[in-house]
This record gives sequence, C-alpha cells and structure tokens, in this order.
Amino acid sequence: MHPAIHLQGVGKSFGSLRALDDLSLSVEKGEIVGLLGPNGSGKTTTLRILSGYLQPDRGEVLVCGERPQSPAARARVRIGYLPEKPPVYDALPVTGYLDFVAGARGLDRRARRAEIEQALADYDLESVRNRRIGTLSKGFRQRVALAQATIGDPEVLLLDEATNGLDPLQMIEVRDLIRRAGKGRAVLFSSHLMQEIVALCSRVFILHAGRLVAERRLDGAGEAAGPAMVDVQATDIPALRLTHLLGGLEGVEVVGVEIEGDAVRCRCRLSADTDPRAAIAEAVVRHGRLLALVPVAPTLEDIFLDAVRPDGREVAA
Amino acid sequence: MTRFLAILRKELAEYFSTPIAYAVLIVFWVVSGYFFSFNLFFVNAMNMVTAFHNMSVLLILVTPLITMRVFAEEAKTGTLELLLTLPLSDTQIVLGKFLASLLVMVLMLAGTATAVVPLLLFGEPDLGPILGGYLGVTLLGTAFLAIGVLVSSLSQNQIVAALVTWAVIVLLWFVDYAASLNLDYTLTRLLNHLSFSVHYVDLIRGVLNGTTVVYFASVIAAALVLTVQSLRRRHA
Repeated sequence: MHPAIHLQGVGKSFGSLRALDDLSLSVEKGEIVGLLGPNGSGKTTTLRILSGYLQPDRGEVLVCGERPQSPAARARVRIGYLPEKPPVYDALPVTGYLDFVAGARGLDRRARRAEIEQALADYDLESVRNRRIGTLSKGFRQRVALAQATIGDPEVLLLDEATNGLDPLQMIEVRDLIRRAGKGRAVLFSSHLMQEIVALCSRVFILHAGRLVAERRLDGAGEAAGPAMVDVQATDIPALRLTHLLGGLEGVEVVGVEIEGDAVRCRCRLSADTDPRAAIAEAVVRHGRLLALVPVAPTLEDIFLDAVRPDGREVAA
Repeated sequence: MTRFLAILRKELAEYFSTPIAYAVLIVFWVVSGYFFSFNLFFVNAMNMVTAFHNMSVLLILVTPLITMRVFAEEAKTGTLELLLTLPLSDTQIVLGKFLASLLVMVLMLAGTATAVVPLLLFGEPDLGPILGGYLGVTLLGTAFLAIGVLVSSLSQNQIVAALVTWAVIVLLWFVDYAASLNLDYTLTRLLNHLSFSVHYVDLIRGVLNGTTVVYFASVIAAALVLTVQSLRRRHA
C-alpha cells in the first residue's frame, strides 16, 4: 500500500540555485501535515513538483502510487491543488469557474452539476453563485479557490499558503474549511506562519534552504513531542553560576536563562538517553535554593528555531 | 472530449465576458462594411476580391487582439499554474484555446457575409469564388491566429504578445521582398514560398490550390506544435 504522498531523494535546481536537496517525506490519507519554513525554503517548489507543475531533477515522486508528471495525467485526477496566488478567472461567475474545473476533471454534465451544488453548500458560496469572481472579497475568492481544489473529490490536497493575506476572521473561516476538506484526504499544507501549522496540522515537516531539517508530531495545544526540556527555578544563586553548574552536568544543555526578581530560571534540554533531573536537583540544592523543576515540552517555535539556526541544525525523523 | 470542451467553453465565456471580443467584432464589421460600400458605390467594383483583400489587411490588425490574452493573461494572473496541473494534456489546452479564438474569427467573418446581399440584389455574382474567397480568408486568418497563440504562450504581457504577433505576421507577409536583392536562386524560391503575400493572392480570388493549402496548413500545424512545446518548457 503506497502512502498518498511519497517523495524520495527529490532534488530540484533553477540554474545555480538549489531549491530542493535530497528531500524525502510521506503523508498518509487522513492526515493534515504542515510544510513549515522561511521564505525561499522550498515549500512552493515541493508542492509544484507534487502537483505535476514542475519536473524534479532527480528522485522519486508518487501521489497515490502514480507519477503526477506522467502525460496520462491519471495521478492529477487525484490531486486538488491550491497555489499561493488563488488561480481564479475574474471574468467568470463562480458557477462558471467551478463548472470549468469540474469539466477539466472529466466529469459529465450531471456529475458537474452535483459537484457544483455540493461545493456551493460546503464553502458557503450560495449567495455569490452568479457573481463574477473579480467582484468578490479576498475571503470569498479564497473560498472559491479552495472549492475548486476539492471538485471531483481528489484524494490529495496540496495547499500553498492558503491563509496568507487574509484578515483574522477570514483566516479562522478558511482554517475551518480546510479542516473539513481534509477529512478522509491526505493534505499537505504549506505556510511560513507557525500558528497556522499548529492550528491545523497533526504533523509538520520543517524545510530550510531546500532541505528537510526536522519532522515532528504536533498535539492539539500546539506543543510538539520531542526531546524533553525542564525549567529550573532557583534562588540564592547567581544566574551565571547556575548556568555553569547546569551546563556542566552530563546530558544537560542550557538553552535559556531569565532573571525574575530574586529568582533565576534556566531552560534546559535533556538528552533522550539519560534522565538527569535528580542530578540537577542535587546540584542546585547544594549551591542555592531550588524553587521548582518543571518539565516543559518544546514548542513548535523551539523546534523551528533549533532546526533553522545555522549552529543547531539537526535532521530528525 | 469532456476536458477539451471544458477548455473551449471557458475560453468562449472569457471572450464574451469582456468588451474586447465585442469591440473587435464591431470594429471589423464596420470597417470592412465601409470598404465594401466604398468599392461598390464609388468604384463600381461588383466583386468580392477587393473586399477579401481589405479583410486580409484588417485581419492582420485584428487577430493579434484576439490571441494576445490566450496564454499571456493566464501566466500573469497565475491561472496557468492551475491549468497545467489539472488533468488536461498540453495538446488539449492548446487546441481548446486555439479553436475558441477561431470561432471568434469565424463569427467576425460571418458577419461580413451581409455584404453579399446587395450583390445578389443588383447583380448575378458567381457564388463559387465568393465561397472560395471566404474559405481562403478564413485559412489566412487561421494561420495568423496560430502564430498569435504561439507568441502569447511566450509572453506574460498581452501588449507585448500583440506587438510581436503583428511583427511576425508583417515579416512573413513581406519576406519575399528580400528576394529582390539578387540572392541565391534557392534562397529566393524559399523566401517566395514562405511569404504570405505570394500565397494570399490565390486565396482572395477563391482559388484553393494544393500548394497554398499545404503552405497554410504547415504554418498552422508548426505554430501549434511549437505552442505545445512552449507549454512543456514551463514544466521543466
């Protein structure tokens, strides 16, 4: 059984610019997976290759077990794609546009009509069904563009910065539509906004300079499972001394220090194969007063910054 | 077929949802009607050859306006990315767009057929050459459209696409002028053969000989094949 989306060792260059380098990832049906990275990290190129718009220079690309670049275009029937710029025809009415997309997906007249009515209901477009797309607000245009991506019931949805440029209310609406559209489908959702990924995705791939630098599962609260971290709060000990003390312990790396009144708070990353919490407590108690030792799960922001920082790059599966 | 018809319907809907198609049709009908009336009532020319000549010149001016948006606008607005990722072949896309532009031009030429009415009322015209002339002008215009579709696929700017299409058509129209420079015999023959103006004389007289038909069919086929190749380059 093939994963719905499968990339293996994919590379792509534009002249001397290496846009993707040895990228491998897979997404199963039923998942909404985020593609997070700064601008120019290769998110759009990844989605363009998956949609069949671009050819990879090397590597294997399969969508539902088929190559999206093949001329037979069988795989493309199974892909719904929403590029970064909503691909709508301003001169056409909403129903005319959806009818065109349904026809291009090979649906006959009866199926087209049914799909259009379903899309108008699903995306709350009934009130603008006969309006020219060029006269619609940005939020409505985005809904129309999202509706076209789901016409013909594709198994895979590729969404490139789908909430970009929307106001907060529109963002919430579109997120909700994506959540509903994602049911039973494999969705790859790219964004450079962490809160969008956290709000929508169960897993995230972090790209940087065309490389996959991290992959993590996300829980609903926006925290990511990963290497354990603890916050150590102590008093009666100078911040510098506490930092040196903790940094000298085996399996402990100090990643942040804050002074709060008389107390010092150190955030420490613990290595996965040891549990140095007892050693931390013992060391602090010996030189000062321990106020708290609190386990902290790393946030997506911690993981992202860790992954894209030049000195802390890690590749994790 | 459903997919091809989807492209065709979409293109026609886009043509007739903007003022460009209506403006082009009205300008063509008014100007060609003016020339025909002038020839009929002031020059007393009771034939369509002059009218077909005038229509050919008007087609040079008007066909780039029909084709300029075909791909250039899609590239500029970002809809080309959707078009090339839908389950459509590049050939279906090119043929759908080309046929839509051809239908607009056929409508344009069909509107001028009202000019035949006074000929039938006041004379006894031979309808064979008139019908042949219409077929000939349609063939000439179809070649212009194919060139326009190709040029539009190479540009993101409609104005640039129209200007370059005009330039290519005019160059191909007058390419035989270079033959008068005492060039090599083979080159002279080649330039004469490539020239629109050499072949179109037969067309406006309603004479559709094999060489002329093959020439125009080759220009149309070559331009459309190159358009498909130009779309494939975008996937690279």
